[in-house]
Amino acid sequence: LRHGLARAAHAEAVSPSAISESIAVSRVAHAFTAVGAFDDAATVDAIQENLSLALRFRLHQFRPVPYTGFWATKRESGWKYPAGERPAPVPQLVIAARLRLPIPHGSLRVLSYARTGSGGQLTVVARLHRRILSGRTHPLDQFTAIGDNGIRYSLRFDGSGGPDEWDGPLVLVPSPPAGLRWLEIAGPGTQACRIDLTAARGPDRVVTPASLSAGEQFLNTIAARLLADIPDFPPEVRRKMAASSLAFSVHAATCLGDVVAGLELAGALPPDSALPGQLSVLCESLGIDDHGVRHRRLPAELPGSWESLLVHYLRRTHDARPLDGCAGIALTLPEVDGIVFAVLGLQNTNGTSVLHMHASGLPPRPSDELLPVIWLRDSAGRWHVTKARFGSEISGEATMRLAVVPPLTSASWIEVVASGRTAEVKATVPLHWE
Amino acid sequence: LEVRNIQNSDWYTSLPACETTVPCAQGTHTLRWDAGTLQLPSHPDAEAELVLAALGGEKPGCVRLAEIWGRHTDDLSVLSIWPRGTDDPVKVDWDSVPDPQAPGQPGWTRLSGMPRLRGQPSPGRAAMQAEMDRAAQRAADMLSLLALGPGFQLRLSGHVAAAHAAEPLPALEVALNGRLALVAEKWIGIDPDQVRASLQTGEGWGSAGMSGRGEERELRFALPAAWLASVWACGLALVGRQLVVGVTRPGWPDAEVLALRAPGAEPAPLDVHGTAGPDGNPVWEAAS
Repeated sequence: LRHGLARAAHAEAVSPSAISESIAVSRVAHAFTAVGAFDDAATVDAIQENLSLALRFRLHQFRPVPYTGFWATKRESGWKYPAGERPAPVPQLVIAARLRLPIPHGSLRVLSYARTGSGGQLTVVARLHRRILSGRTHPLDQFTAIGDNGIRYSLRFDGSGGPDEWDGPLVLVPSPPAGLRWLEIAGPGTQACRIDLTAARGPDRVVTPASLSAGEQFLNTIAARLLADIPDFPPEVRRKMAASSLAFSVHAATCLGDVVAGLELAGALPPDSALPGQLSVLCESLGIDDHGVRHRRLPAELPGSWESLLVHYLRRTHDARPLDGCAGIALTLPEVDGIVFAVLGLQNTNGTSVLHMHASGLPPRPSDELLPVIWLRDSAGRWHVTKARFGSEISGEATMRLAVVPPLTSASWIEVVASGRTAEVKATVPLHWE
Repeated sequence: LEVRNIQNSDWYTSLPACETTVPCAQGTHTLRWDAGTLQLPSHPDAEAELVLAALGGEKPGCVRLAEIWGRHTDDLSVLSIWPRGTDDPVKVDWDSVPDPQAPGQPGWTRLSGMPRLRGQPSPGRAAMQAEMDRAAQRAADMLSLLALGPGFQLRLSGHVAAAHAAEPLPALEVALNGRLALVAEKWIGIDPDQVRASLQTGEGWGSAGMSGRGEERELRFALPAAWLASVWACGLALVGRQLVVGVTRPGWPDAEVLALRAPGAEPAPLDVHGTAGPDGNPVWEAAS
């Protein structure tokens, strides 16, 4: 890292070489943070801050440079992965619900009920007519619920969407106690509907201790991000766009060669690891030639999940657009990297698939770059990668909205796989589409 | 041959005094560095002025600069951020330097680039604001010191290097690498990326050797951390076509150094003579 700083500072501050050195330092710092290579996270911050100043001072016209990179690192540093360091409260109850409420000018589907450390919530998908959104109160904030204990709850919509489709958690206020047997939900002009909160037996869950080093797992995360982010068009088109636009030339594998070298130096990546070679093959298959990984033995094969997604990208014909629908899911996965994930439901809307999840034991201000990767395998044997967007994180808990890439079409079950540094956990759940 | 382990306090023996003018009060004053000491000739009783400032009076610019200088004489980031040679200049004029006593002035606004955080106060927000203020203050300090010019830049780097010369810190090795790479490029025309330097911790001057060919060529050095202060910061790194690896008899304007004619060669004593350049830094040549 420090040598990167020395090289970058020497380059003309606004030259492409300075920019690429700066990006390389940032990427390697990120990798070191991810694999826990630094005892003192402040070292990473200091090096990046020094680089920022070194470049600023060499600009002929002094201009302010926002500290975005610095803060991005700051946000991630200081968090340690090892399981057990931070308690991961397991959601006490997750119930799949298959409930559809006919409401005036729309519909409301309840996918699941979860009672977590921070309270109770229903995961819902709603279709609302635009004209009822003109009021000051969101229509989904006007629902109430009553439990078998006679206590009435107001429901607060904490999700997102618009203008017609809305999804996310409906949070119960006050927080419901344990042991509720049912909830009745009602809204303006809506007849009350009851949700059975009696837990059914959950699916079998498999825990496999991690077989990859921390560095290899980080490279796996890069592969997942590449596969989730890469625009869905042919590699040759992508090459042309990357050559003409800086935006397309910066991606999850930018400066990968520096990252691999850094991880090897830090002892986080075995020198004979197949992952760098596999990742370079993946990059080239996706039209990314500037990954910088050299002198690698070509791998005999790629991981099954990567290969499945590659087939999807490299195919010239597109899948049929998935039909709109949703499926309630109740699955709590075993802890991985100190985090417990619960799957709450799946929805297909407008040709996209979204997986609703809840996570506890999260680091402050989580980003999916440093968390376990969530993969899905469908009933046709195809793999899907996910990209998470987090709701508000409170006391290590947050809801997650994961875009599923490619979208799921007519699957009768999915296997959910959370792949982290400490373990890989998975479970298979049936999908009852509605 | 014997290279004396020059005491840190003596590292500047081969440097001449230098001066610059700085904004102070309504005009400009002279700031002087001589034999390792920063002097404020226009403020003979700086201590008293500090007391007055503490009581609400305005702190003179010279005194403020002396305080900033004092805060950074052992700040290793100076070696990371600042110029690593005459080919790596950093020029800052006083118009670019923020005036902490006049926030809102153009200089200050341009420097900070970071607005005050809005919204409800909270511990997290306060910590973030404090961190942003710290970063802005640090950048302001650095700009103020850089505006003193190349003579003072070199001397402050020397102070920092001397303060840590006894510690084999990674930052020192990188500082050595970055500076030697530029010197070696001028010495034998090698690509700076092909130069590797490490800290010499044992006795003796160190080592220098070349290996490989073409793109695989590599020039490796092992030099003591004290080289940064007693050689590089005194402008002695390259004298004529010889790379200086140590100082055997420090002095100004005449000194004796240990110099290499080529990689792999044995270093030989060399008498050198210096003259003060226009920027306050010494220009050395082999004594005839």
